[in-house]
Amino acid sequence: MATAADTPLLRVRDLTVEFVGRTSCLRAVDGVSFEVAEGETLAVVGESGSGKTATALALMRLLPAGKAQASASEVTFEGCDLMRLPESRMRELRGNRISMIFQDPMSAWNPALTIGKQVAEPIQCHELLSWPSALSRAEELLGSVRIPDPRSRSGQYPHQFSGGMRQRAMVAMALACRPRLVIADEPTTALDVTVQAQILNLLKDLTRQSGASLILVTHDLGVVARYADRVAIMYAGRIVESGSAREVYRQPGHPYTRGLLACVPRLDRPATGALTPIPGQPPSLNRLPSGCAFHPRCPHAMERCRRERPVLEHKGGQHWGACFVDFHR
Amino acid sequence: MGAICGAVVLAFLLCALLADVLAPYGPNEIMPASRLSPPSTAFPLGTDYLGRDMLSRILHGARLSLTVGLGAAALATLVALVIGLSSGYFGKRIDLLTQRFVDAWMSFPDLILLIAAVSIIGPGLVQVILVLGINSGISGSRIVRGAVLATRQSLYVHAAEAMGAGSLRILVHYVLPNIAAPVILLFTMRTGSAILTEAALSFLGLGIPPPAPSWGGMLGGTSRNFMYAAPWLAIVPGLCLLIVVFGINVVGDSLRDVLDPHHMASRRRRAAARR
Repeated sequence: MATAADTPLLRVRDLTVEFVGRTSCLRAVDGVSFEVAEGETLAVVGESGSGKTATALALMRLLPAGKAQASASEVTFEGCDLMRLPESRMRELRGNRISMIFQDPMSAWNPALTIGKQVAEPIQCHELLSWPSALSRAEELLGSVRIPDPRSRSGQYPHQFSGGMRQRAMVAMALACRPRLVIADEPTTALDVTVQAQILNLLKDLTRQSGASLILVTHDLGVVARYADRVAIMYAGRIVESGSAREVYRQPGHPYTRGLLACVPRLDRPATGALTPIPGQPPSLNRLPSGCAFHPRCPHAMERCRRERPVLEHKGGQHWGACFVDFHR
Repeated sequence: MGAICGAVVLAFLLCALLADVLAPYGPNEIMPASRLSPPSTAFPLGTDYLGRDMLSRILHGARLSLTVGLGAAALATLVALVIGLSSGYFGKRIDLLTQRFVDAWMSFPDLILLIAAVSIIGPGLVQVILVLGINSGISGSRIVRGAVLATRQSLYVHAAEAMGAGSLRILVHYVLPNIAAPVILLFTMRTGSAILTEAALSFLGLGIPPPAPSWGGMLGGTSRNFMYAAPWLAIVPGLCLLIVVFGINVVGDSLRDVLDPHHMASRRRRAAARR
């Protein structure tokens, strides 16, 4: 995958995540490679179980120890190899250079600490400010994510906040130390549709202001169209298609991407009647089909798809795809 | 019920604190002329075989019981927190080692362990607090560990890790405040049991040595020889122990109801069903 910038902020090569059980070993992420340029928003799209979250957690090195193993030939962030960094250095990066926003704002807050204190924690932790100055920074941050009356709100506990406000405060916390990379793992899944747009706009505005890159993990293609510069579509632990958001939207190449787009109503095209779902179920990771993992559900499946596994190939522009079928039919 | 027992516990605290003011005589003041006198206006709870006023001894004994109870419970909570937090939070080998040690410790009957420990380090107030505190702290660490394991799995602990917080910060800011409820309960329950166990040890002559007015010691020792002739010698300290320990346990129970939202919800559901 080529990006415009000379040295990308994050470069991932052949990332593999395996969940090790007593008798079996599931490969949740299988040789994924991608790059994120400075200030770019990359959307990682896929169904549940396609390895999106595992990829995000592997980058932060927060996979459950002893249960999951990540390996990669390269994970370079700002020139550091994240896979080989000692845990103490990794801890300095987390929340400081790379931060993460979780899916569920209801349970991602410590119920026993005030919101202000929790937003202030990464500041106090990484920038070694005193508590009072960290707290006043936290109030400013809460104001910048448009929480009304941040001064009194910062003294309140998570249960006194609504879901949308909690997620906005989460955005404030993630951006507290001006990170270079923000990983948002389905940041709006647990929220109302009206609130979703607010959060995403906020995230986009604030990352643009600070020049941070954003990895937006989502299963919502509508989100992608509006907020992402580039898109990577994942299926069964692999990237099946990637490209600029425009390319993937205008000329989706992989049958899976086409299938996904066909199940979303489009406002930019005349209505064509019923939406077409993708037949079948996503495969279970311990019984992956031979060849291309998508072939049992693919309308264009050929004999070759059953035998061989397609690799990610350059299809022109920034567009890459893993499919034997002609992309630009 | 909780309120009544709260009042009983409060009265016990006041007696312990104001023993010097409330007691009509000194706890060890011997009045040979009035040995073994039954309860009267001069001696509301009678006197013992040396002519010591029982009321004064009970009041000063309350102070002793309170010291042992709170001291041992505080030490127990500390020990339980140290073992439980490290075992539950760090897991793996540390968890395995400490938990097998706790298993081994808990497989001994408490009283036998305590008697052995006291006979090694000798009787005395500080010794009794140490032995009781460490012993009940080790078994109490199970409760702390369980609570830590549950909290450790929660998303906010993962979020704190993602924010770059170190182990100590997570333990103090994220785990500890969220296990406060069971820890407070542990403390109250251990106070009651420490008072009772101290009485048992003193009754056996292994706790706080005479002439200190320990309730257990007043029940045991020489006064046992006079119990038929002077039943108040056994009834008064026995009744005091019963009331105080019962009171503390009921207060602990009501605290659990207040602190545990799940328990509260199920109670409310049950009450609604009854209606």
